[in-house]
Amino acid sequence: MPLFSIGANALAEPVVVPILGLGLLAAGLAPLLLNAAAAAGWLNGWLLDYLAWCARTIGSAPHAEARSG
Amino acid sequence: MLSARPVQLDGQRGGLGGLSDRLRESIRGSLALGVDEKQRSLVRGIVLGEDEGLGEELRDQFRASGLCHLLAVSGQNAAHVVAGVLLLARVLGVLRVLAMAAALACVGGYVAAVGWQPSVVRAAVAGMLAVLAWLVARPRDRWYFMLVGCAFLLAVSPYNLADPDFQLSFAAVAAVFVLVPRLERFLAGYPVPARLGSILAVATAAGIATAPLL
Repeated sequence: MPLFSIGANALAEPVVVPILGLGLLAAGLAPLLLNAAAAAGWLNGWLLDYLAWCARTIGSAPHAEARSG
Repeated sequence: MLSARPVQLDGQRGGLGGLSDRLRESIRGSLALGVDEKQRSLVRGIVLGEDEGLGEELRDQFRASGLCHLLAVSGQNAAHVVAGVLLLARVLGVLRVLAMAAALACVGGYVAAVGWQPSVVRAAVAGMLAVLAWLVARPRDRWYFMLVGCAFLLAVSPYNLADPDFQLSFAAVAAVFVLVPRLERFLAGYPVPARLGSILAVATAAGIATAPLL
């Protein structure tokens, strides 16, 4: 069971909606404006890196997870 | 003992199923633009609920940090699709009736692309009812929206009741409705910014309600 879940979600929350929005924007733009879709994807890459950093930093912290048994 | 032979694809589905498959493939392809391989796996997890491409280590870290729910499509995604379309329509100055119709079409397309998962269907039903309520000038009640979604899913298949996605989704939403206002009032007594307080309240409420199921 993750022990720092609330803090991790508070850190990740600001980028979740923009990631979804940029992802869907890229999907909507791709058939018409490939470069604009790639630009949205590139911008999304920064947010995705931040999200992965949140997971890596908190998930690999000491006592991040309580295990039973 | 279970043994299996390699699967061979003989063709594609037709009809609505085929349309859903093509839509999903199109979105998958678009999500690969402008990002590297790791980012691609992550964004596909968040938008489409596909986390197969993520490495074992990163997936473990998402689980250990309590963020693995982000790698599954949730009802929140459907709600954000509706909100995003309405926001975009407002920026572009589109008539509100047309914006509502576009929101309905987009959320329907999104549900078709990601599959009929209980949490997504629940949110899509709620979003559609909210839009319809506005179109016919009827009052909105979030409990009613949630219960109609629940009734719809159970009418489609009563076995949904045993689906962990169904249980987690409705437990989290009911907890948000019941606990978040109380937690926000509690946090208002402390020097916590309102936005952060709201995030903490939602995360705490959802965490409390879903912990026994996880």
